[in-house]
Amino acid sequence: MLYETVLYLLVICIFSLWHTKEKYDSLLTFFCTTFTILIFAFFLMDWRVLTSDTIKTFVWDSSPNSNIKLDIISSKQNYALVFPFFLNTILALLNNLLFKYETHKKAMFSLFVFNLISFIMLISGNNFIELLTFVFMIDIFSQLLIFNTSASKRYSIYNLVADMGLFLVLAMLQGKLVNLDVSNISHYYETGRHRDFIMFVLMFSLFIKFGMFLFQGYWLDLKNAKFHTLYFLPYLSTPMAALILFVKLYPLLVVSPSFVPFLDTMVVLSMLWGSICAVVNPQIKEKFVYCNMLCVAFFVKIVEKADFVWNISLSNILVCFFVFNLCLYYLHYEIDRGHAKNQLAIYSILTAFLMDLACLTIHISTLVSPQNQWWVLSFAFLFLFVVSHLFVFVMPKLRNKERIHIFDIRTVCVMFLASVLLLYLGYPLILSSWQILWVLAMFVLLYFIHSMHLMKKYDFFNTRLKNMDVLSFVYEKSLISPLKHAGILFNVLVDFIFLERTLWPVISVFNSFLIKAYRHITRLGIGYYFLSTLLGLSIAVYFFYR
Amino acid sequence: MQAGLLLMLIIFLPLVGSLFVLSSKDNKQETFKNAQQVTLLTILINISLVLILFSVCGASEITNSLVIKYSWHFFSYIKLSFGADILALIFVLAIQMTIFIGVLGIGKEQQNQKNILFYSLIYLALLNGYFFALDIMSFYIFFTAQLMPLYMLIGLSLSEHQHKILVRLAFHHFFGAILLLASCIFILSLKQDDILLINIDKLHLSYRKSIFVWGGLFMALILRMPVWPFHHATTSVWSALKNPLVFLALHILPLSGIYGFMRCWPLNIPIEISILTPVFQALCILTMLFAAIGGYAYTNVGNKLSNYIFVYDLLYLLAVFLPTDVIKFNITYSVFSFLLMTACLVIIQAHMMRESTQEDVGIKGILCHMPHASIVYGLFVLAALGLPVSAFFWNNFMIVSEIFNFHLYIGTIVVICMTLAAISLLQSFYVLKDESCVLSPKVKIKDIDFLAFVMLIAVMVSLLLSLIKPLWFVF
Repeated sequence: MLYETVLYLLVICIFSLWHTKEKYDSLLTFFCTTFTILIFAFFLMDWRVLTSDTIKTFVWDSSPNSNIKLDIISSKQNYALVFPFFLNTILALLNNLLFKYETHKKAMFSLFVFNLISFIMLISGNNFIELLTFVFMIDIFSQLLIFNTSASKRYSIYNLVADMGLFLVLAMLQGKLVNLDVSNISHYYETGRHRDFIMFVLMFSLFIKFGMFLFQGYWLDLKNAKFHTLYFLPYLSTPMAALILFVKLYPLLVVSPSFVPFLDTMVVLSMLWGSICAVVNPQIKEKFVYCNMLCVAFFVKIVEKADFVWNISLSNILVCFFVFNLCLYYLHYEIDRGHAKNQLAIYSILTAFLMDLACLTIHISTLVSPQNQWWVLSFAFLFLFVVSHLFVFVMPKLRNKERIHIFDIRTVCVMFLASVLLLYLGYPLILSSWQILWVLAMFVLLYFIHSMHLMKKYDFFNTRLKNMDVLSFVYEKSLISPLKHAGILFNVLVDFIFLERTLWPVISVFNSFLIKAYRHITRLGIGYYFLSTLLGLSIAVYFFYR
Repeated sequence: MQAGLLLMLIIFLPLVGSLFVLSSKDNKQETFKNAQQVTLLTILINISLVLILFSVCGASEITNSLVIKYSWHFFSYIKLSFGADILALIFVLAIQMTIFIGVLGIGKEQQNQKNILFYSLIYLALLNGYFFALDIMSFYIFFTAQLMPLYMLIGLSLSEHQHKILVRLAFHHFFGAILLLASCIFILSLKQDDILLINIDKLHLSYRKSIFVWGGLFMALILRMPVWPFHHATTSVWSALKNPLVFLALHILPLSGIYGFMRCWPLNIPIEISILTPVFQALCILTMLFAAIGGYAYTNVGNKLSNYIFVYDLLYLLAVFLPTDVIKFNITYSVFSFLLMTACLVIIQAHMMRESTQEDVGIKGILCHMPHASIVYGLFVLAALGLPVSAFFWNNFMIVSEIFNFHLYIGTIVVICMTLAAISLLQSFYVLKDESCVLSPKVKIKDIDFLAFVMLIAVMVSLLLSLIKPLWFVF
């Protein structure tokens, strides 16, 4: 059962905290990782044999208002929800074990497993306090995993704001319902009101945690952190905590008529902004962040379209996204560190990526329905475009360092197979809608141009097409240039004119006015003292006669 | 009887300790060491006595075994009653621990240390009396008497030209004490036996007398709180104080006002003054918002912490005014954690200020040179932000949920203020941890003492245990 899994993980985690000599750290981490994999195997077996829901409850504190409990509910749905986080953690642990530049292996192991325990408790919990506790715990562990003060500064402030938003909503529910059980939130609207207010506060909190459009700033700060701490963060930290809350607290959201338009707007903006910035931005880490913004935004929408019912396909999609991050990271690492001669490693990374893409396509295809077909196609188009661009971005480094001809045919194969899989996915839809056929045709055309460009770039045609610049021209003029111009325009409009020149100066002026007013009123002079007293009394009189 | 004796011991032991402190030699270095050790020992004994009392006082209600009564010789109808329940004991324990932390954090180079320690022990004794007072007369006596050593403490720490702000503070408190005295005289004029604090609302008062009694009581207690228009006196002294022990002593004063409200304010506000409730709530909220914005706007880390404390004082004030009894324990547990956390943050900040002044370096990035201080400061900041590191977290949740139950807008503003206060505290932490301001290796910044580090870790562990079970130390 889930509580046994938690217990075993807790034991292994405490064991990993055992202080050893530095030279034994790797050995201890190896044993601990092996045992964690074993626990994962038991978890899978338990999941298979589970027939009915079981609840293990620990009463944390008996308050006059309501009992604060720690519930661990073992149900099929919870197992399915825990699965991707468990598997992603295992992959991260293996990476931690094998990655030779990681110096704090044991500490990282403990943090990963504590983080996983927090996820399991968050998923299986049924109490407001339990939810808040483990959301906050995940925040703390995420910051510890980042392990960089300048990178985590805005991360912690943004997440604190999001947490306080969540705190507000849950405190409001507790005040009205006088019950801490999450299962009771659907009854809120029988007694309470303010459905739009609750929805907006909750969604803002979740959007901040997801790192969606307008709230991506703190993710960009992570470029100061090491890449090997960046790859797991989108799928093992705060965005996923937000996702679990999204699934658990949906009864509070769906009752507001503004929910779907609000979500759609944010998802569309995030997907577009993520795709554009992933192409336009010159830094690999920023590209990586924006690419994940695109994936997370799509995933949120697909969960909403699945009526918030979690299934194994959703779990697998999360794992695929994580593996994609891992592939990209390793490819960048292999090339950036001058390990490009290790062609086998690069080839296996590309193979893994290809398999990952195939899996992703298969699992997304199981979720396609007439309600979400446009979302899926848009995502497929944007994702493959961004991914291929990311590979194009990484590869020239290799080409400059080592003139080897390994990428040409394989990269094209990746793109070709991805296109075939996408066609497979789109096939039932083509029959139902002509518009989709058009979109698909455009997509195939773009990919054809893109693939040809790759072939050209990596001398696939060698001498025959050596002097033929038409492909580069088409690629640059039809895809990259418009996007770059659009990106610059958006940057100027949003970042410069709206944010830097309008919004922040207004806030700054208001802030400095408040500071001046505050300092004047709180000066030590007797005149200021009487002024502040008079002001306070006048407020009192106003509210009395109001 | 044994419990009664313990109660009296807790009140009078600090007075005995203060005499020992006073009798220490006037040799500068030695005096400080001796006086500090005596003070710490006295408070430690007091803490252990409070823990013993906890085991005697099993129930939350005041038990007969814990009530002591004394009659005055000339006015035999006036009886002084002392007693303890869980609420009072938690407050007393928190205050002993706060002063203990403050005494550990006091710097060797600061002036008048012997006198400060002497008055802090007297202040502690009178505070203990205040928290154990059950009747209106003993409540009034300790309510007023505790101000004297506090003024001495503040006076010893302020420079000469800053004394006018102390006069202003004293004026406010004096005004409150006069009003409370008038209320007490009115109540005593009814010539009823045993006018306990919890029975004041059961007295039959005429309309005018009722206004006078409740108004006087309300004003006396509210004048201790930093609520607009009376906040100025407290905050100006707060910002001027440099000594961490005196700062903490003054920090306890608003919380003693909160305790006063918990003890004698009726659940439903008397009809005679209930008309003023929205006015009071509006003032509280405005002050809170102002304090939160002020904390956010300030660049000084000390001011950020003061404003953070200011915000939470007002949160507790709003909470005790709610017409419900269910969050009484939540407020108490939260205050317990709040006092300990802020005490630890104050002494670490004071240490950093001292080091930065001595070495003539800025405060930015100073924590990068203090590994021990960095660990404990980080942990206490996490706890103070409201993250699940102590009971502060879920008790605040319960308090805020009750505020929401009665007032949606007030609840929303309260959460906004809490968020701003938490952000300002987090900002100050990042300023202190700023890695870009690394000092040259020639500058030797001293970390906190190992003893202080161990003690702070022990406090953190006790706070962590309070998350699992608030009264984990009661067997």
